Amino acid sequence: MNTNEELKLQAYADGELSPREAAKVAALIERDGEARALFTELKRTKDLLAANEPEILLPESREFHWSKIAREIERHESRPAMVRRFASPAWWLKYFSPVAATALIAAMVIIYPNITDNESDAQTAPAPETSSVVFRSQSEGMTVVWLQGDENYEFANPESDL
Amino acid sequence: MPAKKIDYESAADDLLVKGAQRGDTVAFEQLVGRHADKIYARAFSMVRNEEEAVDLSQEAWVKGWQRLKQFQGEASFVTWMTRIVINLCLDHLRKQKRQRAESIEHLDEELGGVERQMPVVTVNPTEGLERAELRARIDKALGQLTEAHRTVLILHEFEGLEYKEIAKRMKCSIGTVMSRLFYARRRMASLMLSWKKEQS
Repeated sequence: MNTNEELKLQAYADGELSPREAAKVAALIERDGEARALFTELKRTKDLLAANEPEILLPESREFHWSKIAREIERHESRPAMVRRFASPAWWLKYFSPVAATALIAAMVIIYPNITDNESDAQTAPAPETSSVVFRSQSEGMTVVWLQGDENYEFANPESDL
Repeated sequence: MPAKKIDYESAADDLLVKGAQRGDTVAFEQLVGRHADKIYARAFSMVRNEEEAVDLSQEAWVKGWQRLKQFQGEASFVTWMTRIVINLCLDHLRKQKRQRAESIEHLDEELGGVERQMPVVTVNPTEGLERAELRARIDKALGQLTEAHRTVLILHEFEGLEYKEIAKRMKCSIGTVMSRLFYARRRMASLMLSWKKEQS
């Protein structure tokens, strides 16, 4: 017997063949002892399993099992609410965001007038009211202020300079 | 008109399902209590690991609750739940298989060729066995099959699925299902016979 015939014997035992094919296999079982023996073994095993599924019991109490399931259900049900809250902001936030972004850009333009200037260091003219000379180093992130009429000088950090 | 109060203990599954579909968790708890063993047993028979089987059956119940509105009652509730746990187990086994560097399955498919040449078991290897002993032996034999062979056997013999349906669920060809089923049955018969010989 070849593999194909063996598999057909099994399909016959499982009722998976067309009536025409089933008739052919039935004839094979009738005339061939080897086919008959294999068919009997396959059918016996099939019937044995179908009637004797092992009994397996849940290894924990029903209450404990349910408590875990209930907790998971609760957790899953609270999650979409959270997601929804963050996914769809309040109506005013939709308008607030672009306004806030525009205001921020405008503020930066006012506060940092030279922000788009080149990165090179620059020395500004003395401010008449303060009588000082300011040197700003963009690369070092540092500003130096010389006070006129005074031999002393001081270093100012960028934040205090602003 | 107020809804009729359900006697949860005695109510039929379909009544409890309707209650659960309306959000009644007590009805769902009752369904879990009734069918927890069956769902766990299916998970355990497939993954052969107690802890994993508990987790998978728990996950199946959560999914069942979430999809309860989709349940139309074409099959029984427990059949529907069993399909959910089977799908979860198949996904779990696929993930595990991907993680394994070496496929034991291929080795076994080759051995399947050797198994085909084994002499046919002509005597009944389970004759005279008590039912509990018989079931214990079947369980032990199932544990000695590879996941692929065991799964095909479970889906066919215990769940009564046809070749086509098994192939769809296991994402393989009908030919592969037939071949695996043939090998699994022959191996089961061979194991049963060897234990009978040991006993006698």
